[in-house]
Amino acid sequence: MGAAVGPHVKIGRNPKVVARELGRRDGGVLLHLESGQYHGVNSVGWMIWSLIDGTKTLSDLLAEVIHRVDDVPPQLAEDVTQFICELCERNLVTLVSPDTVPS
Amino acid sequence: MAEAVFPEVIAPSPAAALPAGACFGFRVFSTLSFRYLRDGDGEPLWVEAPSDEEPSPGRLVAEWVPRPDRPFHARLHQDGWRYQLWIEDGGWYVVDPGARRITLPRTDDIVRREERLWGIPTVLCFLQRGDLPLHAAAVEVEGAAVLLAAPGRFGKTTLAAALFREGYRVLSEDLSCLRLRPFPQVIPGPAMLRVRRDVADRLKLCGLQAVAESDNRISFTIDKPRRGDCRPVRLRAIVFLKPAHDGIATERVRATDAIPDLWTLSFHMPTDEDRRRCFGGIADLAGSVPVWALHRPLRIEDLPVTVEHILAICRGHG
Repeated sequence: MGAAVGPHVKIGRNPKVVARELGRRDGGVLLHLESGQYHGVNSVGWMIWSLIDGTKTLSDLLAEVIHRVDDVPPQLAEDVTQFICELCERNLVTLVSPDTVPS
Repeated sequence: MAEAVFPEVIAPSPAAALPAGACFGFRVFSTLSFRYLRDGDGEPLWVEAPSDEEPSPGRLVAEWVPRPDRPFHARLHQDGWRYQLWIEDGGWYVVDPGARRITLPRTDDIVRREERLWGIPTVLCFLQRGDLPLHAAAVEVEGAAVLLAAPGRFGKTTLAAALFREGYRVLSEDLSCLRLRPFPQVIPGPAMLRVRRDVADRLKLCGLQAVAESDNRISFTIDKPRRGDCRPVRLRAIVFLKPAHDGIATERVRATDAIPDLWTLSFHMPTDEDRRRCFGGIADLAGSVPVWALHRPLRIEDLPVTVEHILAICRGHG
């Protein structure tokens, strides 16, 4: 699944998504305005979401998460990659390749 | 000698309209009289007598078709910043939320006209103010509010009436106005209870006056000493009312699990901007107030135990 998000692709938030944090330990919720699909994310997922700003690649995001997490679990990289891929599949994020000229 | 001709309705001006009472945090100014207002202050809301002019409806933005839990037909139109709400068997309400002005339809059924006034027309005005509407009853228990949230025909009003009988103040019986800043609060709405006839007969309610009956429901006004005013009441808990075949049980609901139900019970226009506003509001609400689910049979004989469960939740023992 990591192959779906290339190493130089920057990840941004879909502007059609509304996001809200519920509390420091409660994570957050995302609503896709067009599809009406609603998604809950845990506190780590919310931390990852808050780091997505259109300027970071998957590697950048992973480095940020490792920096913020105490006692990094061995499967963290895989979990973060999986999470990003799920966001892609649900059309909650945008992928911008370095060849794309922003409009 | 020429006869004097007097118009049937004297069109009111703000100068002629008198303060009539308060509802949902608005101080109501009108030449008309009302049954369900409370004491207190608030932002002015002008409620005007019908005009002879038939409104020209703007574009259709929402339509409610009859269904078992909501047996009425209505359409909401928008023309710039104004709205025209048509209700079957009710007529046209013209709403200007920015000017805080609502014009009522001409009708002989003035009780029902007022009940509908405190629905969608006023929602449009308190939405414009930044508050959040929710399809829920609200009752004040020991200084704080509890929301009884459920779709129509799920027993909100019956449970509110049962709590009223035990001495608690009903803040709203079907539609609640919530303010989230600086902390979640309920703004009291109309002082009314519309109760099924069989429920009214069984509960033997006191402190109420019947003012109308229709669709097998009796419309009651709450007596003045038990109305209170329109000052906001801090919100302590939200309780989703769920049907159950047997037994009564309560369970805590996580914020992420509460949001889909709150979304269903909220009011929002079919625009991205308004969906954002609504979703942000209910997410903030779910994240800041404890939410419970109360599973109980919909039987009048189970009401006393159901009331005890609600009170236990309010007292922190749910």
